[in-house]
Amino acid sequence: MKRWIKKAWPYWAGGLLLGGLNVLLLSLSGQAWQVSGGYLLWGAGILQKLGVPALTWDYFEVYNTRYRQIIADDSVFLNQYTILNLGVVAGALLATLVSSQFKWKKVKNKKQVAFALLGGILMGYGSRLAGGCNIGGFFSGLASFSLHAWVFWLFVAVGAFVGTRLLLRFLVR
Amino acid sequence: MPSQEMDKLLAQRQNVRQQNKKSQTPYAVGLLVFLIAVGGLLWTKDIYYPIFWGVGAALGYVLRSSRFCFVAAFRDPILLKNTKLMRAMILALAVSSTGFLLVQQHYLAQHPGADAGQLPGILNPVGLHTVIGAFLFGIGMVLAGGCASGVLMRIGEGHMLPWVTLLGFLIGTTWGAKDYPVWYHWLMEKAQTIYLPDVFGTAAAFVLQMGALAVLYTLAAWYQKKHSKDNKQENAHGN
Repeated sequence: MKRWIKKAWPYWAGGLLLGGLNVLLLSLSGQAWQVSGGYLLWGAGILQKLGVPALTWDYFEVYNTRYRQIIADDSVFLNQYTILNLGVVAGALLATLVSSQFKWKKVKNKKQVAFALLGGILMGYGSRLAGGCNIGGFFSGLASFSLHAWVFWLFVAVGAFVGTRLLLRFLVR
Repeated sequence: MPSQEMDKLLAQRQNVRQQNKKSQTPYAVGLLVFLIAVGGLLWTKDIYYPIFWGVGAALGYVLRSSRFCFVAAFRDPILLKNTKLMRAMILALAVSSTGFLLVQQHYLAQHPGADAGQLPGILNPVGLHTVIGAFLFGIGMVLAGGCASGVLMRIGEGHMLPWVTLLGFLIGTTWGAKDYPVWYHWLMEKAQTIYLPDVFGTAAAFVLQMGALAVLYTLAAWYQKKHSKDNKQENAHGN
């Protein structure tokens, strides 16, 4: 009994469930799964606290109407996007505990930290240009029949190819 | 590397944390109670919040339980010649495309003539900015070893490194928002949001998208099979 609970579910089952949950979220809330929008609100909210008026940038004022209400309500840190993200963390933690596999995992070396930081910055900047990350821009975008997600797919794959080359060159050797 | 060995390697990656013997079930029960309590608290603020909380938790649970990772889906075909996760992702896209189209059709029936940008789902303008953004994203996710969703999942597993990636992501995405007007005037202003059913008609767009996904699935399966065969031959000659 203990053994099966620790075993990873097959990828295809994970895929079917993730697809189904995204549909459930859209039909219940009217919004598709997305991650980087919540990150942006956190980032801009932190800057605002530090005295930089990030929430008045053109990005929030002119183009993206969906953040306007959140900023007006002063709920930059706690809103549907950030709650969704925190939910993902909580759910992953729950699954880890259910299988009794939780363990603090420390960072191995400085190189790893540098790559994580650089990779994060590249992803973050890219997500603003492409209008989302792997989840909002691609996974939910493609399901929404938006052409941009197909373009995203093609070029995220090209980027992954270049990234893999860089990784093999600088990290492994 | 032969395909059985590769499968073993992947299985190992999936089950790498099995050694930990001590039961954490009491913590799991405690956390579950806590999650439900938070859901109730959120409900008092906004009736929609518990939906985001609950579905978010379910997504996190599934991501972790199946060790799903969008970066690995894109990277493993290149690095390991393995397309298992890529094919699972294509399956997920087929399921969600079908469901999303139904939701959108329902919305259009209630709001006839709605603009593509107003439809339920995520519809963005497409153009050179998509190309540049996705390319940068692709490099970054491989270097960091996790994308936006993987970071959240690994934080939940107890990893420290994704906190660094998260910090980088916050810096990058905020930076991108600051630079937005520059890109907007250069590339995005004239870019169109293209809803495929507007171009091809609803039924044809659905058939086309499902057909494309099916072709990609078949290609991915063929690619893996071909490489495992090539490797077997190489090994036979090499030894």
